[in-house]
Amino acid sequence: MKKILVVDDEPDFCYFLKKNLETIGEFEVDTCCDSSDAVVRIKKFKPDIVLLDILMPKVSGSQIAETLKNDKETCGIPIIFITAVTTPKEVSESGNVIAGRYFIAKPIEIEELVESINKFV
Amino acid sequence: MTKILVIEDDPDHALYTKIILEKADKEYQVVYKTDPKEGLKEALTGSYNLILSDYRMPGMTALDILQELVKKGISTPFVVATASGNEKIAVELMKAGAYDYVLKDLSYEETLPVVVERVLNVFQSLLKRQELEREVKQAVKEWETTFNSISDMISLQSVDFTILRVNKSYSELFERDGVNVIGRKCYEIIHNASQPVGKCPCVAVLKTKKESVNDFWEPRLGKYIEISVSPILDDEGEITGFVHVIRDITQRKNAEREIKEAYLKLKEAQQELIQSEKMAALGRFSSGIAHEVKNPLGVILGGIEYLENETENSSVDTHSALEKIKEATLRADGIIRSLLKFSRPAEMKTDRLNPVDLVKEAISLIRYHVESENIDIKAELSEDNLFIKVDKNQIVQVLFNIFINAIESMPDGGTVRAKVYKSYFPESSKKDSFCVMEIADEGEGVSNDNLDKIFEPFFTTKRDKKGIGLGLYIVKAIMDNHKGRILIESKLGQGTIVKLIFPLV
Repeated sequence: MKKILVVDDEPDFCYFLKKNLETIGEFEVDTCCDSSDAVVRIKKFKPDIVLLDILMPKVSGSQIAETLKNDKETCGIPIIFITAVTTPKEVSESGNVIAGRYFIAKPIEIEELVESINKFV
Repeated sequence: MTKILVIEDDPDHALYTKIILEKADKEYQVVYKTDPKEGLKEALTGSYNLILSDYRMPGMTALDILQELVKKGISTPFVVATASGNEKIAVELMKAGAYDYVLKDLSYEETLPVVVERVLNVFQSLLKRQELEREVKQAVKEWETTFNSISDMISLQSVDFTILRVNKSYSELFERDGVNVIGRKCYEIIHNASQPVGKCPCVAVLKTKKESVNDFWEPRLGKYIEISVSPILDDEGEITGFVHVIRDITQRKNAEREIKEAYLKLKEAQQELIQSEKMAALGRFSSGIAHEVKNPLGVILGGIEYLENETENSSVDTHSALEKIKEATLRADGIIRSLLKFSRPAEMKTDRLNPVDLVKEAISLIRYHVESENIDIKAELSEDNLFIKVDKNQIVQVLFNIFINAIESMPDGGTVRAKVYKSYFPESSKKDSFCVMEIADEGEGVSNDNLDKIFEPFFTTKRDKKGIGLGLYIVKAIMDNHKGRILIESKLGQGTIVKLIFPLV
């Protein structure tokens, strides 16, 4: 079972994403809706991959990524950024990588997300 | 006191004369000289009101004295006394300037005071007349000086529009080419017309007998003039002529026009500012809403996905219901995304590009899009050495949107004309040239009311055809990001011309 932590400030989004990923049967999913709590939760849960929303109140996805990168304990964990601004088409056209970051766009197609997760883990 | 000098070589007669005169009037003060030379000397002082001289005296006649006085400019009234029978001499003296004569006969006592009084009266009235004449001359001179020093062009005219008299400004303006305006008609001279012009204040004055004013533009003079006409009325109140005043108001009119133009410019700038502020506010508002709406949409989509898995074994109806919900949600998501994308400065990848290539690319996309419709696209793209610095994809999107609007405005088909050319904009402070991409249709056109709202997000006249109202909003946002301008001219029922204006590079 691959461990996934979803960080997004919208609880219902997290709820359904967790449900949809768990349906596939390969993943253990935990969610975090309070971005200020994300780093602590990541250290505790020790996920194989983090799905990280960028635009969040309190602490932004970019700040969290920066913290993880600078911590020996977490710097190895791959991150998939979730963007709501760019369209899925634009993201896939750019090969999902923009400015060195791996992106997946909302609305999320589960199959595509699973494919991406499997690339990293 | 009336001072009378008597010159008379006969002392008895001199005294006799003095007595007669001083008796006749207490005001008379008589001095007599029996030596004619002394008499002349006294007379030359000019301090007498009247000189009475005997004609024949030793060594000198009254004529000699008179001529000497005239020569010296002494104009004291001169009366000559002669023995009777010498009237001829008297006449001669009168010709030389004497006022009157008196005969030394039996009636002398009676006649002398009468003659003296008459002469004094005549002289008095003569003085008065001279004084009046001088006053009149002075007044005329003052009036003429005033008349001629007025910068307005003034004329006096008869009721049949004939110019009788003009001041200096008038003749300087209208007599430059040697024309004599006196006796001519005012409408010939001023308006170059053969009869009174429409707004003629003289005509109005003839009707109302009151002052009338009107402005004229006289292309021949290159001046704006204001003509004010006042009637000259006789004692019965009938008009006998006009005082016709022309004032050059060119400067005033020009200043007025400049002020008006400046005001209009200011108003336009203000309008543009209001419009762009409004657009910016709307943009902020819509992107705010978009952010708020997007998250629930993400939840809904996640929920749909979940339900699709959970209801795998349910009826076809359930699946098709879920599919419809998903489609609608994705459409909503697309709208929100378009809004967000252009409500913030998008990252642009600009290159030096040929606008003709951009138009060609947009046309090829459109041909693919509207294959079956009865639309003719005519492109005049001969001017192909212009270059602009733009983001290719964004500008092709702009052109595409405008082409689509043009085509959709002609449901029964028609022609869309596309042109690329170089143009100058006189209102631009720098005399720079610009590149214009022009797309014109012959469709339904846009009403003036709608033209004001055309760039607002969600403004659409195609709600029934699933129009969202973001096309031109996005176009405007892209043009703004490129520091370009978009001008839309439209006439209902006749068509629309859209001009995209970019600085040349």
